[in-house]
Amino acid sequence: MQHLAIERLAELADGEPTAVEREHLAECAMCSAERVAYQRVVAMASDERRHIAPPISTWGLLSEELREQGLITTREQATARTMFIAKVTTIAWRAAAAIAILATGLVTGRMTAGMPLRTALALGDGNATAGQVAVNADEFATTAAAMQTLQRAQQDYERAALYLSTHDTVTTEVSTEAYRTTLAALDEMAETSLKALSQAPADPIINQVYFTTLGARNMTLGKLATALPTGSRLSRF
Amino acid sequence: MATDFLTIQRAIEGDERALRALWSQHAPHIDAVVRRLAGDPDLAEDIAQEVWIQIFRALPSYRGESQFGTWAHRIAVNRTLNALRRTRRLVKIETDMEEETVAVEHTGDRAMLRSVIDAAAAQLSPGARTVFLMHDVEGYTHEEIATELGITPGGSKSQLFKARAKLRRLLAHLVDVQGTDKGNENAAPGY
Repeated sequence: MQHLAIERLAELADGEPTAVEREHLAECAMCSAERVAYQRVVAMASDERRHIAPPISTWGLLSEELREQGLITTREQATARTMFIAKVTTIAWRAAAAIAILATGLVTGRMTAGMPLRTALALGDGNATAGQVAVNADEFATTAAAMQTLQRAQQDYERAALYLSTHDTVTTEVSTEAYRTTLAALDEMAETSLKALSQAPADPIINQVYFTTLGARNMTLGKLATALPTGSRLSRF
Repeated sequence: MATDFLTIQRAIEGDERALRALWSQHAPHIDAVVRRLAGDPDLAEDIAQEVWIQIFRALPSYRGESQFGTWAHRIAVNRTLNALRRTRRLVKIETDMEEETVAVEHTGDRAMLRSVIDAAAAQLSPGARTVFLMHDVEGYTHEEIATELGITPGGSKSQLFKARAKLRRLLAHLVDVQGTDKGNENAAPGY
């Protein structure tokens, strides 16, 4: 067999020879030595990875740039943000619990009004699949498109809430206490998001949270008004 | 090197001490990667700064699926390659290897060994050098290199073997096995 080609020997530095090549390497001192030389090149390169040296970046310049880009915040800002997140999370859990209670009451009310279970569970126009939304985080081309959809959804939500508060008469059996619990949670959310807005007035997410909370609050107020006994007026909740 | 999850959390929240702690812990490795890939020290300095900004911007996307150092290393390689493309150093992956011989300083001093290797690697074409550094130094696979550089895995292999062959010649005084016929450069007869 002829000697192994240079590039093949380079490949064999960390590759496996064929049976024929192995046989040749066992017999040919020159090719065998060449392979060892290539293995040494690869070992030297591999050693290089473990090499560390003093950084070439400097914290002074880096921190300046990070501050300009808003990636470093003051301790007060960081604390305020952490507290806001913690508070919104707590309130959101409370609101979710209140909504769950409300939904259970709604279904129970509809059933006691004579509706079959399937109808009582149905939402909107009764077409359950129409209300389902496919969740796909990559479906929006830009953040502007996502924000537009979010705003449209919010408007749809408010219109539907308004309609339901004046037309859905089968929910009067739901306890007014449940509505009051929801309202209290929503008020707390509105207050917290309003405080956050005073710190970050242009933040689109906090704006959305605030307006959606207000929409939900109006809907709940409407429901509470229709749930009161005839002749009663809503003076507090 | 494990990085405390709480430090990362605090860094995401913009805590300067946490950001600095991450930088202090990982800069020696990350900056070394940038230095190797960039070659030029001045350029490496600019890119390292850019790399760290990118790492900190991307922090919220770190899911802890790999070690923080590994995750940051990937960003460093990717960002450095982008920066090199921008400076037109990687406009084209060269396939031909120049055959010039380079006098590499012969020294037994371990401290100088690194600079000898650096000097030899600097003699490679930009494409071959990048493939060699990514594969043999940074541990990327040919498939990963192909994706990063927009070439085929076969192209990556070809570049690597040519790079190794050239380095083997340039570093002959360091890698030759005693008794090998040094008069014939590095090649066995009939090559």
